[in-house]
Amino acid sequence: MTGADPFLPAAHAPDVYALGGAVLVGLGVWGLLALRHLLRRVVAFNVIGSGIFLFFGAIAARGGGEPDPVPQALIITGIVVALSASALAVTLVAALAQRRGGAVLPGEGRQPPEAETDAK
Amino acid sequence: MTGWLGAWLLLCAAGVLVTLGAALWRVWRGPARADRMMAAQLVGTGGVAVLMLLAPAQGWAALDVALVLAILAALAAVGFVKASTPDGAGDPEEADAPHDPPLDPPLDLATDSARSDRDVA
Amino acid sequence: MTGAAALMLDLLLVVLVAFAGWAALAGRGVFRAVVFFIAYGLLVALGWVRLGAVNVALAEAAIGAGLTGVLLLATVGRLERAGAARDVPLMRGAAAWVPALAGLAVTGALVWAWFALPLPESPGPQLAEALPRSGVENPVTAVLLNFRSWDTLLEAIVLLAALLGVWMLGRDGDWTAPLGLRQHVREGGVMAGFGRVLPPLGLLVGVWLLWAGADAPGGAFQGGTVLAAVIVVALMAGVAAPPGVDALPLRVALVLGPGVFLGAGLVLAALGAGFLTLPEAQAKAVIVAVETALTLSIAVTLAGLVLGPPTAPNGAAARTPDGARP
Repeated sequence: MTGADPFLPAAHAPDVYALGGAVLVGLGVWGLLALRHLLRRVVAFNVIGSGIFLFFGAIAARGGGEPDPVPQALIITGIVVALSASALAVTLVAALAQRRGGAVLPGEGRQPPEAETDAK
Repeated sequence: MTGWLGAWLLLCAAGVLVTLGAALWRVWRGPARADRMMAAQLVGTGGVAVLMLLAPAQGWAALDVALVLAILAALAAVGFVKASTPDGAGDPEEADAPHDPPLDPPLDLATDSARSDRDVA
Repeated sequence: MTGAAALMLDLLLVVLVAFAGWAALAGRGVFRAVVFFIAYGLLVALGWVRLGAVNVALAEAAIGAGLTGVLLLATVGRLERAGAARDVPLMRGAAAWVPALAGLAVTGALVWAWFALPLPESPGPQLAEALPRSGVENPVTAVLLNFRSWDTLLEAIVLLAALLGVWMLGRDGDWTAPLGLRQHVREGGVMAGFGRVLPPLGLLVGVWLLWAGADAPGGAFQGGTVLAAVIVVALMAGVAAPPGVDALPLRVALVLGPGVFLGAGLVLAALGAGFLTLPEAQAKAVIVAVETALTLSIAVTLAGLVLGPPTAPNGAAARTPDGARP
């Protein structure tokens, strides 16, 4: 079904995805600092990582021709490690929530009490 | 693949992406959790479609990604269903699982948005 | 003609990715943010294909679309049972400008760097000369398992360390309990049927990705993440019961990957080739052996990370009335 055929990115692709990655990193930094719910902060952290990977992947695709495999290998490593870091982070958040009854850091206020169905 | 056929395939892929934009709007609006999850599943299925359209134009290796996406996209739905059971590990089809309240009074489209305050997980 | 269509496609995809990323961060509602993040992962996988990084797209599809979704949704469920899933308002006042300025500064710096930095030296000629001697034809596999195998070995150990961190967050008394929550499904229902249909297909795809990764897109990480998803589905659908932390097969499976990798490096050093330096004649065999062990370990480690710490059967999630940890 698939062979090792060349899979060249389009000429404009690196610029487009690099700018997209830069925007995502900025959004993620804003989210990490501004959001207070810890699980949303973990999501923001992941958005930052993913934006950096897109930026790095665009660097790999620069210059036409075959993409550089070294950044791609590092990105694969990064994706897997980001998952493991997220797993550790969300387990910490859940443990904190069970201990304190809220998923916010101690210095940043209290979580409002839960309504009976607040599913959003 | 160059030329008109390649351009047409890419154009079709762009069209599918537009429908995925509509799915993202549904994720934003909800109002129920199931609405959001079904829209996310649509993004997964649409992604498989985009990859299959890209494969002849860009490279057949995209079909591998489409295969992996097709197999694993439903995993999030399973996780959602599990997480919404009372102990986080159950099955909504089990005999003692809580069920959605029946639609009584009958569904009135003009006031359908009022259902959101009876929304259950 | 194709170029214009491709540009429109890429612009549309980047706009969708940016919107999904923004929506995962903005607005109110923890559940909505998580669902947007799952959709975001799916769209980013498409972007990787457009960037010509099919190996990365495989990993992102399996992790971003599958495992991360299960992880975050399960955590939302745990937070709800602890009464902590309600969203919290953003900070107000003068301090509210700082995050926006920080974000803008970082984005601006990255955009400036993209246009200001010179084009990096292309690895093409060096890679074309070294790749045939690496034992495999997939350049990413060659980089991961041959040219930069030290990074991959350390990464395998980092995964194990994260899993140990997750295990340490369980309760002391639960240490020998099975991992994760006690799953129960209705016999003959949709969930049980799903658990019978998906794992064999996923096993086939995962093993094929590992094997095909030598010459085509794929590899240990891609196969390992698909197999991890298979394990998670099988456990959630009640097909198999999760082991306890002290189960020997589990411990062997976790350690086998980094162990074989490290052992191969030491043996090569003892034979005079240098630590993790693969001689051309044995390169393929060593890579296949290390990749197989690594796939197993990655699959079991990632599944363990998603399942969570050991939990006692009588339910662990509730707080005691005085708010202390039970």
